[in-house]
Amino acid sequence: MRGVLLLVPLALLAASCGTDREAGRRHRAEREIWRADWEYQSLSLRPEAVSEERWTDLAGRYESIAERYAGTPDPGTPGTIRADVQTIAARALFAAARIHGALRDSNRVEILYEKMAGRFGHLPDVAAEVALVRGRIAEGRGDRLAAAELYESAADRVEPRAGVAGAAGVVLDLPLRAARMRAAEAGEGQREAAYRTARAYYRRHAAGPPGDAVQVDAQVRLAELAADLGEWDEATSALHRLEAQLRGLDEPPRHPCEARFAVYGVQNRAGLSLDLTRQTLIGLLEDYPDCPLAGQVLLALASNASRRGRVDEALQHLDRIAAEPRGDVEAGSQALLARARLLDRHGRWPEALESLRMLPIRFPLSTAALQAPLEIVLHHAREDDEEAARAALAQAERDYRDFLARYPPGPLALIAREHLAQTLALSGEHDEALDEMVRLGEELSGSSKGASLLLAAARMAYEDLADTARAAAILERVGDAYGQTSVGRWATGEATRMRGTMAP
Amino acid sequence: MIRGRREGKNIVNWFPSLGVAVWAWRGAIALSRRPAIWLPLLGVTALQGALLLLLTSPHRGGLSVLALPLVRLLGGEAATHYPILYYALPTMFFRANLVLSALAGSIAGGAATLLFARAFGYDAGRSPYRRAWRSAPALIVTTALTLGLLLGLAALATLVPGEWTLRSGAVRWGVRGAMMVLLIVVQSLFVYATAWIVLKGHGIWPAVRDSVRVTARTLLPTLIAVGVSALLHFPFSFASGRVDLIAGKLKPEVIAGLLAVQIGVQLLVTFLLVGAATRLFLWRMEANR
Repeated sequence: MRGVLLLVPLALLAASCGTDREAGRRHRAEREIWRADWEYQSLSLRPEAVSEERWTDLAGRYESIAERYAGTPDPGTPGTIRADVQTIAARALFAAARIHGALRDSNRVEILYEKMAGRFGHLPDVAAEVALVRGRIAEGRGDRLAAAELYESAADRVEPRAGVAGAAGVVLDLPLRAARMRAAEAGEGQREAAYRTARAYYRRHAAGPPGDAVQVDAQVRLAELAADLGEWDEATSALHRLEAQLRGLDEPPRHPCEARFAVYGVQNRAGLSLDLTRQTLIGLLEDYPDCPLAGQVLLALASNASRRGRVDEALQHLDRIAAEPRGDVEAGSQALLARARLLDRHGRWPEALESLRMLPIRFPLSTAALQAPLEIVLHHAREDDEEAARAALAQAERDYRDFLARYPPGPLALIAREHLAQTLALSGEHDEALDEMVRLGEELSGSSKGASLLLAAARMAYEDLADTARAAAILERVGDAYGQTSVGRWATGEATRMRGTMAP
Repeated sequence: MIRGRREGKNIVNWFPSLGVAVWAWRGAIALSRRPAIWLPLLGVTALQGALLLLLTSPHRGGLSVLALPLVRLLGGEAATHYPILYYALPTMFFRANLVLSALAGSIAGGAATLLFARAFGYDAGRSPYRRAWRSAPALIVTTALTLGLLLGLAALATLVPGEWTLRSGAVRWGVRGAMMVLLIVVQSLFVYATAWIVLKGHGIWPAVRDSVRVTARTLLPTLIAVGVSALLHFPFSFASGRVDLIAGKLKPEVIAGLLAVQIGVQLLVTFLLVGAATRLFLWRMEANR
């Protein structure tokens, strides 16, 4: 009996040692990935100054972390320390894939995602992340059915949650996105079937706890889905019900005006009369003077007035947005650009020019400000004023080069580079424009934007430079990078045809 | 017989008080080459070092068996993760160090006081360690009492609305300054309790009462001696409150390094404080004769 009693604490100690060994292993894994992340962040401060070899080394370091901590015979159930260690290993592979992606090594990226799907498929969060990323890659390549399947698989793996990072935070959008892709590939009679899974998914979440952000967003998606299928009454009544629900909540996760603005979107898509949609927008501003979407509502009102031929009314709406000192940058800059275009269309160029010149001063970091120099060029081109167009082109080139020298790489810099290539092409500097487009297209490799830039570069090489060999080489690159898509196959065929027409 | 200043008038003027405090420190510094006096304090430092090593070792094979339960106890399950362990390290170390100070630090302080007293010419008996051990219950309770009072005072800072301290740097530093003054005053009131217990054989309450009396009669030199020690500690306690910043800018392990330096500084400061307090105490006793 005494022996048995002695065995109990010994067994407890042995069990706790086992747990502690696991916790110690997790601590080591966390430390190693933290140190690798630290190095990644340090290198990311000036990525252009870091050699490719250094990035490859870091990716190798992440992969070795994954190798060290992924290989347990028993994967462990979610929520256990063992599962935590496996999640760290999966994160390390994600990081390695991200680096290889930045190095444009798409083969290695594919291999790593395959590995993740195989090894960590039992961890829902990781499996969802992998499916999500692979879905994005497939979508970027234009492989819509594969992307839809991957998105649906991600949505099946994790429950949506509002305001969290990772797959759970974005998964609610995926069924609708997947349905739209399936619908685009399906025939006219099969559209409803394409949306069936998504509708069931959103209905399930719309029946969740009232007032929860996911429940509210699921209702919005249901309305969007109904609008996609042309069920306009169903869509608007769902949004009106949602607006009433949001108004009744003490702390609604969305402002009720967002539901009303979505009603306007449905009415617009349904092609209802401009007067009716205007009434919806006016009513929205009257009922919700503190609406956070006021800028967008005013933009919509301006567009509505412009379509009704009421230029002064449209300008008033646009001026209200631009006059808002703390308004959002996107709405403010778009308002100024829309103002300039409206004035230009109605022969009031000096005022339009004033708005365009104001754009980079008031909203230097906006897509509209980057569009402004080209707008000036296009105006003079339309007016057949060659001298003014040349001067505007020279100014636009200076503006874009200044922007690229002043601001770090990022989404706006990519737009500036695209505009610069356009400006160079319009100036007749096709060689330089072509180089910039190819560079940009390769940096965006895997995305539809990258493909269209490379195709535009190939056309420029063929038509403007009469350089068939160069055009064929660019098309071959499109074929290599987008081989699984119709664009890639077309590019390969076209490159072969071009090579065939070239003199031996 | 105590060498040096023999006049024991109530010291309330700054310059003479500073002179007395410097005199007390000089006496302690003069004894810094005697390893025997360092020994009890080095014992506590070794324990603190071992504690720090243990707290930072949940991933080290052999030590993790002890380290992980300790980390869980002091910092919760979250502290077993990296780098949260290092964010929680100052708090965990502080909690464990309180227990260490009350149990081992108090006895080591008693032994060091006896060794200093003997070096200053006081007949402290043959075996200071045995004498300190015999007084352990009183030393532990007095130290625990002092620490409890200091913690209670530190909790007063939470009464200031967080919004005020966040908005105003002046309020923030004002609160810090006021807390520092309060802590110095309370520590000064209790600083002679150990000497009363080990040198005069007092019980807990008489030791506390008479410590307050000695402090009252040696107010400024005591406040200066304790205050300078507290100021030497301040940069480390200030840095410990900014671990997120340190770990964010540097590496989390730097926090362990910071605590290791703090342990070293604490050893030096404790040596000086115990030496100075013992000298001041004996000087006051001499004057009272």
